[in-house]
Amino acid sequence: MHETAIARNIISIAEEEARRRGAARIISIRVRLGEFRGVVPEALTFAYEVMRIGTLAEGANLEIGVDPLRVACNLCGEREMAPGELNLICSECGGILRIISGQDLVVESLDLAWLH
Amino acid sequence: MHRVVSETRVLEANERLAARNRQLFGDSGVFVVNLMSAPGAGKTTLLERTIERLRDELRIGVIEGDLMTTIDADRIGALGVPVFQITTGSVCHLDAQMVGRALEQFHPGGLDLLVIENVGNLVCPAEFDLGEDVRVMVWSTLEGADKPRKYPVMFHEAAVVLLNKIDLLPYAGVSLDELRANVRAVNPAAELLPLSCRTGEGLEEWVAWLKAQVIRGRGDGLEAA
Repeated sequence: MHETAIARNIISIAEEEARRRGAARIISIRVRLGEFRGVVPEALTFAYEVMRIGTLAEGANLEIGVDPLRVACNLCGEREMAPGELNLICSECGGILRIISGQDLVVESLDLAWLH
Repeated sequence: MHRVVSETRVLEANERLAARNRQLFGDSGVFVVNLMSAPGAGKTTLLERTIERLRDELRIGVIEGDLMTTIDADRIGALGVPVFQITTGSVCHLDAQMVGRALEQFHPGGLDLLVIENVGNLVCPAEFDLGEDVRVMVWSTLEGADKPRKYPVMFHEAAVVLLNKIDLLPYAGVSLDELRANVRAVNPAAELLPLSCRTGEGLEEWVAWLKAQVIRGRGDGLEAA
């Protein structure tokens, strides 16, 4: 359940950004989660909903955008791959594939509210 | 309401602390292994066999990560090498902060090799850089041939996969070639070393690999033993 640690980090990043900008609260947090990370979106949402209590993110939605796993072969080009089907030996030419996306775990943006 | 762009890596705080650990390891001239596996794959036994073979040539220290108990630390301590136990409570992995705190009490100065035995778990430890030089994974023949496909992130990150318990291969219903191919699919660059901590088969190759890494890491050519 390292999703707890991940959720805590997401909230800290959001709170720090909100405080730095003098915002009163966080309305929503958008996260980009690569498919090729050992993080389960449902488990992350569950952990987040527990961890946000008592923070500036208490009322904030967590929007998780899943970033697909993509691989590239120098000769045969790029393709998408399901993480459970990962095979980094190219089925076309036998060369070695590189992972080019699907490994991010990033807070993309926040919606903040100020008191008027 | 106002939208602000952040683009901050979620584990940036861990990365910063890992970089600090890495700096300390570099300054101390110690080569650091992050040892990972499922529970029961044989990490601690591997460490015992490794220490027995290398303790006359290298100054070795161990940090043990476990949810509870000091059983593993006691086993390693019995071999006469310095050992520090991190008891994580309910946390399923080590992170750079836990290791950094351990290093305040367990300074690696004077060591050639520090092995950090992570919590037995094929998922969570893969996410957390500790500041190590290499990730070494132990995978045992009886865990099932499909494990690299089910836990591709950890297998993908390992520099070397030690295939342990090959003495039990006849009971595993799977060939070494199949296990090798399954690792290669998720990590074509990984070194795969089959061994048995019980019979000793393959241990010399592993120990030679590790020693070569330590020497390369120090960059000064350890005296030939």
